[in-house]
Amino acid sequence: MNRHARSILALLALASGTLAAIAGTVAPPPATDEVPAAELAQWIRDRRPGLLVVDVRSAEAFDRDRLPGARLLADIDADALRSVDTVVAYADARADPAELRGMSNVPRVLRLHGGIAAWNEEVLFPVLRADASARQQRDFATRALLSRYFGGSPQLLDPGASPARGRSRRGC
Amino acid sequence: MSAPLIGDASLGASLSAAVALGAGFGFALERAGLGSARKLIGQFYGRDLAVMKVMFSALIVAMLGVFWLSRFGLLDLRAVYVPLTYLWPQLFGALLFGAGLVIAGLCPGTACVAAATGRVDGMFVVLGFLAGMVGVGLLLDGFAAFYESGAHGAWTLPELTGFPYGAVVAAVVVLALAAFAGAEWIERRVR
Repeated sequence: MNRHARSILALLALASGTLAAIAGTVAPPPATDEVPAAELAQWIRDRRPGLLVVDVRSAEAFDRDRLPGARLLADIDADALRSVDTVVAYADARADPAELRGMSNVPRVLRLHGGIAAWNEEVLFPVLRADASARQQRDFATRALLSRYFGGSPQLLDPGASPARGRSRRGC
Repeated sequence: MSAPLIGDASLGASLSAAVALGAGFGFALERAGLGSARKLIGQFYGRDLAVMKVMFSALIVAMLGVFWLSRFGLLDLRAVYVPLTYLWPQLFGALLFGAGLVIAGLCPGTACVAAATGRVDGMFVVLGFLAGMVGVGLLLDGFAAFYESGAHGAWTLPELTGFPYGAVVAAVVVLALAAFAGAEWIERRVR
């Protein structure tokens, strides 16, 4: 490979790495019509005026497991939407925008990023490694408080108690 | 086999994928000239640092690929297996591996490539590490406590440093480019 080609590849790698640093997290960012689970948890805890959380799953799933204060989509009529200015809909993973056509009068209709799975992972059962740094432990304290507020339980992962070690080999 | 490449596929499909990926890996090693012990040993004399360049290139291509595929929602990073960290046995294993590489001139992957292309030294190295694997398997109970020591689970650099994932990716890219430049400088000086 000549010097010119190597320089181009090096520049591409550097540009890609720089963009990664700007992007920060490896997780896909929420879409413009989505709200992260942690932010929704703050809204619910702060009793944000005009907020309505809507479950677009089945009635059975709603009875089994739902977000605090959420209402089933089938139970919502026009009267219930009168004083609402923000609707946050959720499903198991990603709420289908087609389900929310009846809410066109609401100023702001959002979907929960990652669905109820993200709520469980990020809000109810956040995980901290036992060998986390002091800064990581401080950052986690806020999430732990929020978790307990909603009846969840922050998880402490003991790396030494990992599942039995596989006897596989990896290398070049 | 790590998901989500083939997910919950059958054992046969997993093994087929492993054979295909292994053949691809071996082909890449052979094309890079790494089936030759002389080329590998060249790195210890500073004459030819191709091994470091090939491995670091593969690492940053994979790292950037995983980062951006996950970022764009095309790869579920939670489904990708991260090997568990056992600090002390892995540190000892790395030293042993390095010593074996210096003595044999080949590592397990390149030894397979060398053997497959008919090099006798490669065949002996393959026999040697297969014998070593059998020996360790037979004696493993005797040093089980050491084998499990320094456990840190699936430990990644962002978790270790507390820096954002993307910042760690950028740092590794800069480190790799600096290593490439350093390697070229060393090669020029030695030649």
